[in-house]
Amino acid sequence: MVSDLKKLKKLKKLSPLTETTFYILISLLEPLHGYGIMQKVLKLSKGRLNLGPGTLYGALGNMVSMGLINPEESGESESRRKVYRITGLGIELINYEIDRLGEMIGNGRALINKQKTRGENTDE
Amino acid sequence: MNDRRFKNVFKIFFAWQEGKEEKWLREMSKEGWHLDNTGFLNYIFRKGEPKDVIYRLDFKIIRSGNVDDYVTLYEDAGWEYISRMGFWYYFRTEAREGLSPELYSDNTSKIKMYNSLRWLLVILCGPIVYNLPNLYGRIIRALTGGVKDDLLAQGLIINFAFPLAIFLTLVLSLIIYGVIRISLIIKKIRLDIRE
Repeated sequence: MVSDLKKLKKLKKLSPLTETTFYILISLLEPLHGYGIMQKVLKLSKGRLNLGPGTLYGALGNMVSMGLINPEESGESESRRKVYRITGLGIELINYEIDRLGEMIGNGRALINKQKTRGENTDE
Repeated sequence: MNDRRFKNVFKIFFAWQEGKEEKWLREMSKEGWHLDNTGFLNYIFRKGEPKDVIYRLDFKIIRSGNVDDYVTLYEDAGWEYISRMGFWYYFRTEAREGLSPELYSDNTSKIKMYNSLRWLLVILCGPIVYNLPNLYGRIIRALTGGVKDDLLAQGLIINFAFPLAIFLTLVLSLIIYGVIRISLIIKKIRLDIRE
C-alpha cells in the first residue's frame, strides 16, 4: 500500500508529459534507436511531429535520468547507436497519462457538444 | 593557407549571437565558401559550388565519450556535423523549399538549451565576482597608503594590477550583458503558449 502511494506520487510529479515526451515514450514500447524513434513518431502523428535531433537527444537524456527508459548496447553492426527500452515505471506513466488525457477529451467533448446544441437552439 | 581553395576568417560572435552567426555562414555558402573547420574565433572555409546551406549551432555540455552517440543521432536526422568550438557544435543541412529545419522542434527543449548556456556564463562570473572587489581594494589601499614612497611598487600597480582590474571589469560586464540577452531570448520563447 505504502509503495503504491509512493508510486502514485511519483507519477503525479512526472505528469503532465509534453507531447514530445509522450510520443517518445509510447514509441519505445518496442526497443528503438534515436532515428527509429523519430521515424515512428512521425508516422504515428501522420507527419505532424517532426522531432528535431536536439529535442530528441535532450528528451532521451532526461527520460533515462528519470528512470522511464533504459539504454542498452546494441548489436555489433550498429554499435554507434544506442538502443532504448521502456521501463516498468515508463509503462505505468503511459497508463496514468492515458487516463488523464481521456478525462480531458471527455470533458472537452461533453462541454463543446453542450454548447453546440445550445447554439442550434438559439439559431432557430 | 595561401591556397585559393581555402579561406581563413577571424570573426567574433558572442554567445547570444548564434542566429547571426548561422545567417553569416549561410551567406558564405551562397558565395561558394563552405565551412570546413573552426578554431577559436577562427573559421576555415573551403571553396566549392555556391549552394543554399542551412547552418545550426548547438550548445551542449557532454562528456567526450558521448559525442559519438550525439553526433550520430544528428547525422541520422540529416544534419552533417562540421566541427566544434568549445561547447558549440556546428551542423549543416541543405535548404529545402518551404522547410525551416530546426534542431529543436519544441519550445521546452529550446529553453533548456539557452538555460544551460546561461548557467555556464553565470558560473564563469563566479571567480571574477569573488576576486574583483579584493583586487580593487588592494590597489586603492596600496596607492593611498602602503606604497606611497615606493616608486617601483607604484609602477607595478599602475601598469599591471590596475589594467588587469579594468580588463576583468570589462569581461564581467560582457558576461552579465550576455546573461541578460539570453534571459530575454528565453522570455521571448516563454511568451509562446506552445510547449
